Amino acid sequence: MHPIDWGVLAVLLAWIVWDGVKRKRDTTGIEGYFLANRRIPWWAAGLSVMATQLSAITMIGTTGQGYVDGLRFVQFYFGLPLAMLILSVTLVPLFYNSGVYTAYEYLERRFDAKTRSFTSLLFLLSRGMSVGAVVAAPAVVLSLVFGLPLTATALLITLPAVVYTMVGGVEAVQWTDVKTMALIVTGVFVMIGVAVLGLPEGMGVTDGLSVAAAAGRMRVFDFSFDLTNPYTFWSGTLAAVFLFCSYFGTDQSQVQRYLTARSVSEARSSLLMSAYWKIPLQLLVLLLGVLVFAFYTFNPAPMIFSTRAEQLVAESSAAGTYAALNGEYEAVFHVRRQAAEQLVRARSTGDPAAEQTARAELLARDREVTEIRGRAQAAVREATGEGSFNDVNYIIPSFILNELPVGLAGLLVVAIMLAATSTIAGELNSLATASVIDFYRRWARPVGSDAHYLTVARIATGLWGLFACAVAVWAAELGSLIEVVNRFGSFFYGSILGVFILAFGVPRATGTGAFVGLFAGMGAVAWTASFTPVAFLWHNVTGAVVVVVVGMLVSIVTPGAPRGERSAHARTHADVSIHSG
Amino acid sequence: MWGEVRKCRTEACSGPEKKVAGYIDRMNRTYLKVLGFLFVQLALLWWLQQAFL
Repeated sequence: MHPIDWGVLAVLLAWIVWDGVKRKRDTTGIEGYFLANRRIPWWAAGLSVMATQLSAITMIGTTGQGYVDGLRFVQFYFGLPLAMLILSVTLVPLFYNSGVYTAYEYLERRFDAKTRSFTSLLFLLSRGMSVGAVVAAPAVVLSLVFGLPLTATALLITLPAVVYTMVGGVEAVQWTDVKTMALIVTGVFVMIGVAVLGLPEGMGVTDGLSVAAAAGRMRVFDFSFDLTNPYTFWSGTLAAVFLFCSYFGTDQSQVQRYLTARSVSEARSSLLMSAYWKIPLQLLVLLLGVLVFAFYTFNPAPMIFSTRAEQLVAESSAAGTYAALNGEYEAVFHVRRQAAEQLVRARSTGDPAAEQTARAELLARDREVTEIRGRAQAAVREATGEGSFNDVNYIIPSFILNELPVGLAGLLVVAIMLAATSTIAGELNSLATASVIDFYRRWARPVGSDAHYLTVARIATGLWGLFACAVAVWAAELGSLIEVVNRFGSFFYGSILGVFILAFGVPRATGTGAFVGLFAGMGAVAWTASFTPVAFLWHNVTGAVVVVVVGMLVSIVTPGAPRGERSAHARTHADVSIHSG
Repeated sequence: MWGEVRKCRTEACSGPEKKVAGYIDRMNRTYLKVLGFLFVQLALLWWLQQAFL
């Protein structure tokens, strides 16, 4: 990176950390530290909800996916507005009005302590591992951009989040998220502008999109009912509803965002912001990838977007084969560019026959380019021993570094970094909340001063931060295991949602029923994932349905406390003895 | 709850009934807007796909 880019990065990072740390003045107690004293405006809470979900993986992975696969991935989000509506009516008022700190705290009121502790433990396990993966994926890419070792890059991403989250609590997290969202959206528009301006003279957005469409990048809808395909209209509108209900309704990293709102109505509005804007935002991110594809159809593009991978192959015994492949790639690339130019000319002259011919030619040549790139990636995998190597995540960083002017490149690299940082900060804060409220205060020290819990909360945030750094470095070194860790959470999501459905919608459900149902749900998901080709999105449906059915059956044969009867130990911040220290 | 909404639409109501009915009406409008916006987005995406295919 250019020294000016380094300067932009240093200034913006310092500003973000300073702005977060200064929020310490508002966090004098645990209600301030965990819930920002419930005074965050709905729009800031809503932006924080979106920023926590939008990680660096979105910035580099989803844009790369747009480049390679087009707009198809946007179908994944079709169910999100429906999930938000369901949550706005059900769990949001329930959590907000019951005055809980964590979603799991509610489960003890409704069921029992073991159900609360076990679901909270599942959250800690899955989020604790995924926070490392959230760092690892961008760290692998950014270490090449920075020219720094992987460990140093992982620390550079994680430490700012640890510092401002530890000191400023949830308020620091949420106001930093607001700035991060502004920076990310600005960055995406800037990159779209650069991609469009980089098209040959006389060509505009529609020409670029036509070229991308001819190469199959503008196809959005896939109505096939294929349970093995994760990105179809049906998986996006049916199965994804379960995933999003679980993620936004039962995952503490999201629940905590809207519990900071000023009222239940504002908490709802903050969630509904995602219902309105998530699909357009995701479409924008994918469109960036599509337009970068159009840009690289007319401008020289490397066969593989990772220069480090190219160097490693060049130094290996496969260097000769790789060079020959590169020659083949350049020849086909040239022909594809000619076909694209032919298509744009045919469109401008209004010649449908010529346009059709050019489209067919472009599609055929693009398939050849894709096939050669596939062979090149296989060569890299063989030469480097990185079994999971794929250059999708390197496309946008490569575009930023090579095509954006100095200064702007630094700004965009910071946007990617902050996308990771804001997700980590949100997760650290929620991990600390669940650790302190669901375990420390519940089991170790039920009565204590506010100052004591605040100190413990800060220590817990710091410890989770250290854990995140360690997992990040470990996960980054393991490469393909990142994906395994990422999928770890999908084993639990549907089942945890099932427990909350029992709690909210089945008055006869008992604690034992929910607890047994939870295990049955996880078992069913593990079996489905291991022995069937069903795509992971449907695992959420499997988990939720099995938990509800088994939970109801077990509830019939097991006696339980009537709904509404509180466990002797169930307590909230409203009734716990707090002695201001 | 729906009883209050129906009652307040057909005859005069006041106090808690009016409050509940007004609240439900407002929520319905919000949710219909979200659903409407979703359908508009899907229609636009369909148009975008067809325009370039």
